[in-house]
Amino acid sequence: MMRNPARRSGANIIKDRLGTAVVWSSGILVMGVLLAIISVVLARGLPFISLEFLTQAPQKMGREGGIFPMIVGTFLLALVAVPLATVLGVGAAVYLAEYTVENRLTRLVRSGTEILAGVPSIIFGLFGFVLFVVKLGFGWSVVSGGLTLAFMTLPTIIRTSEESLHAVPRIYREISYALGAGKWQTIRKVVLPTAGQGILTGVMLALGRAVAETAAVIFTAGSSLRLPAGPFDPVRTMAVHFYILAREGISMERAYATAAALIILILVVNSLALVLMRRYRARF
Amino acid sequence: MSQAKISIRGLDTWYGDLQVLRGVDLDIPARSLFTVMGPTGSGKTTLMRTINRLNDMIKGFRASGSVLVDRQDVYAPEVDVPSLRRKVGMVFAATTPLPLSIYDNVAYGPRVKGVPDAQTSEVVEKCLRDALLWDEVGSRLHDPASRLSGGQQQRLSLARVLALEPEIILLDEPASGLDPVSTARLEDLMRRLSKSYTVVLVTHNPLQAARVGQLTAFLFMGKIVEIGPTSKLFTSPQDKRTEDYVLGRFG
Amino acid sequence: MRRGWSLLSHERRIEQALLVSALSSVFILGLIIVFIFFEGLPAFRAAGITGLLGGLRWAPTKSAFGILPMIAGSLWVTLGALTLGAPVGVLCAVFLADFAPARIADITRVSVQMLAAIPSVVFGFIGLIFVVPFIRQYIGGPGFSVLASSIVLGVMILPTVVSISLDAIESLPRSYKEGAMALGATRWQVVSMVTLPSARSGILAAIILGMGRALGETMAVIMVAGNSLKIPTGLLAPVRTLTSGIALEMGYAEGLHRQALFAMGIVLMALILVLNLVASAVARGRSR
Repeated sequence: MMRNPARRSGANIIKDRLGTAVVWSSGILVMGVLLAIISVVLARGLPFISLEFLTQAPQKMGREGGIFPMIVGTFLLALVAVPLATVLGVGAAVYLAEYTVENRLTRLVRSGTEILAGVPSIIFGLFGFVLFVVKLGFGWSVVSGGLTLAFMTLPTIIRTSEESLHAVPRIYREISYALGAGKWQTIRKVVLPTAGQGILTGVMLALGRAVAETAAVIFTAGSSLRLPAGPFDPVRTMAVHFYILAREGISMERAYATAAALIILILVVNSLALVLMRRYRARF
Repeated sequence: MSQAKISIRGLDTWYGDLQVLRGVDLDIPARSLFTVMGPTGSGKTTLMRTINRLNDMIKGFRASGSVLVDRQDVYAPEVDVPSLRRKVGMVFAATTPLPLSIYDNVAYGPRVKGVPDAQTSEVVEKCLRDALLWDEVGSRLHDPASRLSGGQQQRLSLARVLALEPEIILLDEPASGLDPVSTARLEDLMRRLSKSYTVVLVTHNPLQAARVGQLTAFLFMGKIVEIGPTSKLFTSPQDKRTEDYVLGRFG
Repeated sequence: MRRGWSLLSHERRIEQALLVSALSSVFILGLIIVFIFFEGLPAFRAAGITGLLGGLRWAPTKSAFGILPMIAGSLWVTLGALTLGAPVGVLCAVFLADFAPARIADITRVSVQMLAAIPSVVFGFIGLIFVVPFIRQYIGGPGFSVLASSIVLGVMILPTVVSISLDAIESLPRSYKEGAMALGATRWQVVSMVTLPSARSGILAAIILGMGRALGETMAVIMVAGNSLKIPTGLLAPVRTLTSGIALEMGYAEGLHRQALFAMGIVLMALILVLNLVASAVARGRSR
């Protein structure tokens, strides 16, 4: 039950001031933490980033040299993981949302994707290690790492895509059918474009995870310092490289620089996503 | 065998266990303006959606009886449903357009059919003119259709249907939510179109039914209560329920 | 009509392709779940459920598979993360919804999104460089501790807690707040008496999801936790969580040892599964 708040007593006013202060502090704290982290990393890392750093291979276990193979590694894993997860995930979501009716099977699949979307990445690392690296014999490789990341991001993509598809108003489909369109035509011309923004968000999330992920990658793609010659060669990503440099204390400057490069890459990817989403919104 | 454009005999429909239409018999002559009136929930929309088989979308829908368009059963297994839906165009009660530009809305049907682009732009202009919308949108065809007013959106829906070159046009409560001026315009348009197309209007408003259409059928609780020339139905209805409805005692 | 026929078969081919992707996805999802179970079960059988879950000694080379200290470690660290991160996160959501002027709200929103995008290893590293020495110097203990982990994880769960709480608060009907304000309530009174209680279930769901995130975090924790194998005796004691336990030994574990790591994975997943179910039940209470 609510006491009459109109009692503008001194106590209420003090509580209001205190409450406001607390709320503002929380907001400022969050901004402050972000600012602190980014500025530390960029301040200590940016000065060390140079063209040589980005295009040279590491020397002496990373104590000297650059991070070119790691940049390549990050891109390669994302290149394997994201398209695969997107094609399978969006395809599955379209099938589930448009070609099936709500029944026990679809609900089971939905629970499954929700559960897997919450599984920690280390478990995927474990899974990928035993399945791809050991049992299937791929070894530590681009393939193992890429497939593991694909499996890891698949549930998220299915979930966000399905939600976006369900959010498309039913009347759009009815109008399209009434105009003589077939099911796939309707999906392609009306449903997917309308759900596109949400689906893209899911894909961008997947991409962000693929780039930033360490636990799942280190146990499946390995930590080789060399440029991979083929898909079954091991590779080190920027995130893994940073982790190793930092934890083993190999080179603080290069650790900061790698972190800075990684953060900048992630910021670029996220900004791209925001821009793309705003363009979609502007269309309708 | 009836010469009517649309001929329905003994139509029963169910959504799962719920029966909506009971033994509907109806003949709609070609090139006429036919009104189906009745209170909300009597099955008017179901009847319309059965003719163009849009009810196929709904799980658990069943129909028995015959629905003939040009003496052909629309539920026959060899019927090509997309072609049927191009022949029997539908304007929905909701005015919401497709989330596309004005041009793309009207061009949707032709493009789905595979009409080449050069021809499509002619068709779009012609249909927008026929729907009395060209003057208002001709200069901004690529604006999003969502920016149009309700009345304009409804005329757009009509243009969209005309682009299919249909023979029959079904309008499901097209004036719901429209102001009187837009409504009058729409009714005028329907009268004009009925000279070249078979126009079927569905409405819950007896006054609109009285204004529009040569023939009217009163549908109540899934059954056709009475059919006849509009003036006769309103001046000397045969059934008490019809009389109560047109006098506004219920509905 | 020829056009009709090719359209039909085209539609059918597309439907089949989509079915294939749906089946593959379902297969993959099932594979992951089944695989981890099958790999971990032998360890449960060998060590016994009580031996595993209740055992205090983890020495895989000597067939001791007690993971209780690690379970305790995970729970302590998560509790600490929630104590620090949940209040700040919820209050920040309140800030964004009701207190912040538009420009500042935009900046804060972007900050939250960016915070979510920063890799966990960076958080761990910052914790290593700043938080651990600070604790060691000014508070006590080796620095690598439950406290350090809680601070780092608390920050990491902020984006989750903020965004989901914000959703819950923003979806409240405006009439709730307007009604209270019309009665003369101060801003804070509206928050404490109307907003927070009404959005309670959504906020709870946000906190529970944050808890799931904290439980599952690995890399950041490894860097600041200290990885001791004893049940932590206090905030300043070093600790090992289930996640770091798996990560630290996976590189060289074989046979039963490796299967024990999978068993730890199963325990971890069970904990998170329970949390997810609670979160869904709570969120369902929200859509009244």
